Amino acid sequence: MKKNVNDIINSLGGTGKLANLLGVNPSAVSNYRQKGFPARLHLKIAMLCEERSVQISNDVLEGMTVPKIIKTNPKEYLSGTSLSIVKHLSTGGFDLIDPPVIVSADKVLDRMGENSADRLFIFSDQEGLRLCLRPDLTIPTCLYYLDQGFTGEKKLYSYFGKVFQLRLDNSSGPSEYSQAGLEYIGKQDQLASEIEIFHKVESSLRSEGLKNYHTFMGDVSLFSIFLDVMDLPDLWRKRLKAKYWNESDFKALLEDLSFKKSVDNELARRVFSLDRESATDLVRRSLGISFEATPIGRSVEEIMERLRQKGEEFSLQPLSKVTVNLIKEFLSISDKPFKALDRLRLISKNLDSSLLRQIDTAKERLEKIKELGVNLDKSEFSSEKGREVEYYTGFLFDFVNSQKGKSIHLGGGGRYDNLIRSMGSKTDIPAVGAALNMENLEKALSLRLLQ
Amino acid sequence: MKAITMALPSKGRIQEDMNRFLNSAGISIIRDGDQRTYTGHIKEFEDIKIRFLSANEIAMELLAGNVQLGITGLDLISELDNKISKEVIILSKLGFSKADVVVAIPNSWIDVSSTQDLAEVTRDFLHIHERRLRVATKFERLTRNFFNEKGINNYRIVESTGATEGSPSAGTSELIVDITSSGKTLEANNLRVLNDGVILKSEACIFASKSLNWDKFNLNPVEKLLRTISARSEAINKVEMLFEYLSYDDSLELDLFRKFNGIFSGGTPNLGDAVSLITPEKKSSSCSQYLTSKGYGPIRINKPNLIYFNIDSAWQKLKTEIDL
Repeated sequence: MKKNVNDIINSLGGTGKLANLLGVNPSAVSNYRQKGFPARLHLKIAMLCEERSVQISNDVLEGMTVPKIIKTNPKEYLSGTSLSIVKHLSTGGFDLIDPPVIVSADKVLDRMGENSADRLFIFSDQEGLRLCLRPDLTIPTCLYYLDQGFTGEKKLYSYFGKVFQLRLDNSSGPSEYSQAGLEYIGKQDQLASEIEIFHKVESSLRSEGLKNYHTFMGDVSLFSIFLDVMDLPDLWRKRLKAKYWNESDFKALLEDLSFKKSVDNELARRVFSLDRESATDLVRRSLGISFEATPIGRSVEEIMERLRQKGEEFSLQPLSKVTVNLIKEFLSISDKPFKALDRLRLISKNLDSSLLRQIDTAKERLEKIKELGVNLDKSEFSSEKGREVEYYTGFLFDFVNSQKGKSIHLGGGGRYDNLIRSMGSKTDIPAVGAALNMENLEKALSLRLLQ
Repeated sequence: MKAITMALPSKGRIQEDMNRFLNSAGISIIRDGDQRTYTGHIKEFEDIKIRFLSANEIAMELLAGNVQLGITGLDLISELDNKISKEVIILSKLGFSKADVVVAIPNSWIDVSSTQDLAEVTRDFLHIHERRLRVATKFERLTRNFFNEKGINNYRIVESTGATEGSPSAGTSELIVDITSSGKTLEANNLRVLNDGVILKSEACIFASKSLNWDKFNLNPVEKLLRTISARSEAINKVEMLFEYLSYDDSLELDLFRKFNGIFSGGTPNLGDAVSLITPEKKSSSCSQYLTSKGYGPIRINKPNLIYFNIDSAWQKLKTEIDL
């Protein structure tokens, strides 16, 4: 039981950390040590203490406790399938949280890219701040994690709530639906956390009595490592990785790289022939700007580096037919999971062992999934799964129910280790999560009852 | 039967261009009361009511179905009207207030010339600066659709409603999407259009709103009005070449069409006919050279004020769209 202000500040991480959490100057926190917390901060402090399980005596915050409404968890409003799913997901240390419905549109777009803005419900508040209704629960959950001031600590969350995505064609479903899901954020054993998330979601389907579904799995890190260990110029590697997320662009690029390029950019060729310092000078002179001046938006060095790359392109040998075919073959594998991994291993047998280790890890993951009792006959592993959206960074999975020829997407998830960084964290924080589409789940369950 | 309402621009260059256009077509717009009112009528078509609005408001009112016809820029309609819903139809391009919606980058980006380059730079930029490149524009939807099509997703739109060209040098964006007619403002602000950076070739058009019950309206004056407007738009930027068809050449008609978009207004001529050839104004000099080299001449060039075709495509289009 913390009785005085100093104790509370110390158990919340000290002056600097608390100043950060409250968004005030450290000197202000030193001030609180002397004079106590101002009344306007009592609620916030109470919430921080509760979140971190710091017990405080009643008098420090003048009797302020976290009001019921904030503690209320969504479970109290749920019934039927939703309630049993949420109960299932929120056991085993997955705190049930209720992240905000309205989030910063800029944060969401930072993550999803500007082109998704058409699908968001965006509006402004009185001060002109751009806000939006949450398009999923992963982003607000990660923002919630950051808002608590965590920088990599292990946190397990579960959630339930409505998400909002504008349908552009009015035909492919409603603009709002409910999601129930999980996030495993921060310090973690990679394989164990993936299995835990997968298992929790998969077993919640089974506990509802749903057995007739297919599992589609993939691991986007495999192709990334495959490119890393291939004998390719760095420049080609970089461009192939960038274009991977768009299948037709990728195909066009592969085609393009199999032909020798003729020099069409004299400046690029010259920049590439010089050392970096002279090249920077040359670019500066071509721009007609003095030593101190900076071009708009990008530095002279950035422009020089890119010209170097262009110049380098012309000096490179085109990709050999063997390489192109190997890349195509690697991406073409889609099979029963163990068989798919064996085939990937066979293709990769002459490549660097780091790739083989990663394939073995994927196989180990699969063994564990099998031990959970998942029917792998109804599963598929594809080497290019996950390339439609640049989102996942490793293992990913989807559950699809098929009845009477209809496919219903029940849910899915995976690993996104760069997600939290893209939302403002200074460092990468590992994260793996999954969500179920509750409307689709209900639909699948009622279809099953009709049979 | 209700009277049709047509919205016309109340200010700016598009208004000046439009006044010139309508005057040459012999259409007189009269404001009700003094010059400061925002309603009016057409002297020649009394059953059509006029509302004067800003070009942007016209686009919104067409979309909402609050006016039936309107003259405004194609850029504004394309930005507002959802690709899928298409609530507003173009009846005819009018040939004035031409301008392009373009992607423009700082001149100093000498490593960037195409959208392909830009896609690579946006990716590098994100890694180097840990934020996305900013595009200042008032054309948010056009920008998103175009960038999406070109495989560019690592950017953020910064809304800009005025002086967009100044945004990169002011440091509030790195590049812009804006409308330009001469390119001079871009140049003055050290900006340059990407080689494949034209998103939309815009000009003033006459539009109709689809989202209303057309059968409640009196359409009699609309057909006449559209015919007159089409006749003027067909004539704008065109010339008529008059010469005598004195030597027989059976490939002449096809050649003139292929090389100069030229058409004989009286159909295929017979030997000895005085013929009238309509071609775009900018091809008139090369076309007349071609004709003289073939031995035709003298050639007299006229600037027609109106060209009526026997079928008016604007009216046909409206009839089809509203199921008349």
